[in-house]
Amino acid sequence: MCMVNNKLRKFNYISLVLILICFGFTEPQSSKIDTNSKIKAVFLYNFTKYIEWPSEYKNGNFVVGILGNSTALYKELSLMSKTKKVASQDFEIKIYSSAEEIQDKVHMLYIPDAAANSLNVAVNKLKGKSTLIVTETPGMSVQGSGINFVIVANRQKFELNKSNVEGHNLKVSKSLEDLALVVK
Amino acid sequence: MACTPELIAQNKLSNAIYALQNEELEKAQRLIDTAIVDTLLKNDSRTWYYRGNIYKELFKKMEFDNKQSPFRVTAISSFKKSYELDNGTEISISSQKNLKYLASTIFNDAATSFDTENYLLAIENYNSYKEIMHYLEPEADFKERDIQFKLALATTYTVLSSKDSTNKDSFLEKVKALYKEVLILDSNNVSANYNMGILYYNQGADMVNNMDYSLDLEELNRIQEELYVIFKKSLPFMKKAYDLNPNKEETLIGLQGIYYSMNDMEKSEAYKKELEELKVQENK
Repeated sequence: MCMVNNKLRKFNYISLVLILICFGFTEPQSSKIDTNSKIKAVFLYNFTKYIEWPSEYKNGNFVVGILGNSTALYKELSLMSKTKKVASQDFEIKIYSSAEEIQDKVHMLYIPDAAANSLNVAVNKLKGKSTLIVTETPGMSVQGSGINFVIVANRQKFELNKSNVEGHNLKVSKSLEDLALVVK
Repeated sequence: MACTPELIAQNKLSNAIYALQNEELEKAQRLIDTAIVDTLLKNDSRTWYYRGNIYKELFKKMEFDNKQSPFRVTAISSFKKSYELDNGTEISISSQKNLKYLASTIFNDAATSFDTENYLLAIENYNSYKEIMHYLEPEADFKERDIQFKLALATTYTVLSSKDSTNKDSFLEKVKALYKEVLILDSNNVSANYNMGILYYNQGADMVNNMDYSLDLEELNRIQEELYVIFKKSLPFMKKAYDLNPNKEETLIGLQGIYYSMNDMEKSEAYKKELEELKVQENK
């Protein structure tokens, strides 16, 4: 005998719906690095190789002062100070709120654009001191700055006023002159 | 009743369906796999249809979390066969619905696999989803889904690039290629434009970040030339993202950063000001 399975219920042709999950994507963050400050830090480190300070400035820390508020550059130079030296001298990065505050030996003084009107005070304060004054405001190299950062065709360049540098008893190498936009 | 080959074959199928209805899935699987090789049943759309249902239930009960479920694969191939053998009857329509359902589960498995460990599986599953949907609807438009898929994949490659320094460049090239593909599909896609801008910007920023402080000045000048070219490449994408959505803070931050890095302080300041004004508006 052959039995036929007659116990089947009608099979339900159910409708099937599944909600589609969305693809998740996030937008990447832009890098937080201050590109200009890093490039300036590389320039500043290079200046220590092309400029010679007198022997009495070759002891102790190599002091880089920043006049006024330039957080990004301070941060960058502080990072640099952790890995780099000038010969055997450690870097010391200082912030001065005004030129009058400068009392000790400063090898390099950076005057950001925001503090540009302090240049004259700084030049007077540092008379007779072997301090390289570095600025970043148009026209500063003829007002006492030794090196002035300028933007030329969207690139960071620097003007060198050799007599202003040498006026602080600093020697400028020929190589630096070749790379600079020489003012005098 | 005489036991004809037709009756025996019919019984094989009926018993399999009965087991399915009683949720005896392993028994149903055994019976349907016997039925499917029966010469009297193997060209019957119903046999394949029930096989699809049995394997679909096996997938749901036993392998729903398995993103490469073999039960699902068999269910799909069975429903496809049923769909091919049938011509517009209730079974054909139901096979189509089941295929869409299974395709949806594959799509969802793709969507939930977008991490650095499982992204290859996500790619495979998304392609399977498209293959099934294309089979059912040859004219189906996947543009929007493809865009979302490519953006998700680009995100994964971006994460991988930050974790794997050896293959970083290769992953970033893939990211770039994916955003380009999205922009071909939709040149007005805000995310792809913004991300492409960020990608080039970060490429430049990384180059700066990796510079040694003792880099000589001639080399620094050469790098500056290279940086200018890279930052300039990011600009049209970020500008487009801005044009499409001027009130997006990230885009204003991006434009401010790009112009700053290109030493165009005037424009950088202008976008900074716009961002500050936007924030004031938002806080009102």
